[in-house]
Amino acid sequence: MAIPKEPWYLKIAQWGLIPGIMGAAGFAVLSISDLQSFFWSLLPLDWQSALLETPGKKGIIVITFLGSLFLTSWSAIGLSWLAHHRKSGLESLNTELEGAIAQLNSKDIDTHSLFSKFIFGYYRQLGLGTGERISIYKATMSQLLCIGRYSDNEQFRNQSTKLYSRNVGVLKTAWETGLADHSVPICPIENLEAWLDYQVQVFDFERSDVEGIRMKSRSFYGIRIKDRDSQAAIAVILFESLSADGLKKTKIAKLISAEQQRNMCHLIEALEEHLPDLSTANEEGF
Amino acid sequence: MKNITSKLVKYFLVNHPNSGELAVSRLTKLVYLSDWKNALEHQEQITDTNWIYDQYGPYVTDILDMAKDSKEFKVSEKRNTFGSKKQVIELISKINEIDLDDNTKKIADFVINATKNKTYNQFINLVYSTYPVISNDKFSKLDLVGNAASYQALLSLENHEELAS
Repeated sequence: MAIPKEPWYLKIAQWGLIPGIMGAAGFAVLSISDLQSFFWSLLPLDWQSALLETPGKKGIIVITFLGSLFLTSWSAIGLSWLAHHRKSGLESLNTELEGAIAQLNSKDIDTHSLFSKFIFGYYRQLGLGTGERISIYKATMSQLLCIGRYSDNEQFRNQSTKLYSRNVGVLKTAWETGLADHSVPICPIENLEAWLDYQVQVFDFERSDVEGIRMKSRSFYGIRIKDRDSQAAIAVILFESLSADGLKKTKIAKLISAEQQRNMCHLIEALEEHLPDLSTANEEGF
Repeated sequence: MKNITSKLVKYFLVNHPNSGELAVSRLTKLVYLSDWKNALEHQEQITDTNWIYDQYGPYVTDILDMAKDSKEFKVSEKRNTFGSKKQVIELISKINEIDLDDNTKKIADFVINATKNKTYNQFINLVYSTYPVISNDKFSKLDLVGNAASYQALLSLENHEELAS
């Protein structure tokens, strides 16, 4: 917000105090004869003679009167104009500030990008590669909403769906018990059918659902995130790898310490207002 | 069906308390919410808009195009306090009565009442929290009727779980 340069007439108006004092002094001199004599005595004798000639005694009174009137008018008009201008300026500034605050509050934050960048830090620290992925899921009604995801593999970074059931798979284990540490003994490249069967039998997935899974992972490590009072689960962070030994799980456990979990909780709670939530829409009738 | 979109837009412009300030994007999202609400209640959209999950939520240019092509609307550019431009659709002449069926009016009134006091952020968050947006990927087509069925199934499962616990 640039501060506009003040025009010349406002600068003059700002000098209204001095003319006001001078004008008042002029009127005081006009009305008190002792003051007239005092100031007159201060003038050199040749000035007194010259002034008595032109403009003369009456002329001096008229000039002093007009001068005082001009100075007090300048002061009165200038100061009230300045006050009015400052008031409307402040009102306009106030409106702009209110607008700025409203605009700041209404910033549409791309939370998915923010959380994806947040977990990218973990991805780099763990030295994960194109066969790995980290996702963060936040609870919304009975579902888990993917609010951030990162993988160096573009194919795994994109998501075909954003809502996941918390009643199946490793997400269920992490959600319910706090930790999901699982390795699938079957390689999907060598035996896809057996890998699909494993998902259905062990993780309770619908076969049609797992057939559509893009990243056919073999190693999972999921950690539940609780709210700030450690009372209720609010999210799950899930590490996956295509390789059975692709995740250094001890390193992950050390990295996602209780403090890091609290950080994630605070970040989620701070952005709550900007995160979509099915229950928000449901409560509003949508 | 373009006619119904036009009538619905007119209804919002006549009945929304802040119609003079409704940017095209907000007006479009009001139409989206009306279509979604109707899909939830009557298994069909009010308009025949093919909704797309755009970069900034459900958006189509149909409403802006319709307003530009129509002699009943004018599209003007307004500036907010900070000088940012926004496109606003206005009615050229005053209309008192819009020929809409009672159900559509009821849905539109519901949408107006649910959103009229919301800040921009609250409004956007509501739109982004609707099932079609929350469950579909960006730049995909939104099948509101199909999504309404999935959402109803999810809600009944939710209720079932609540009763069971």
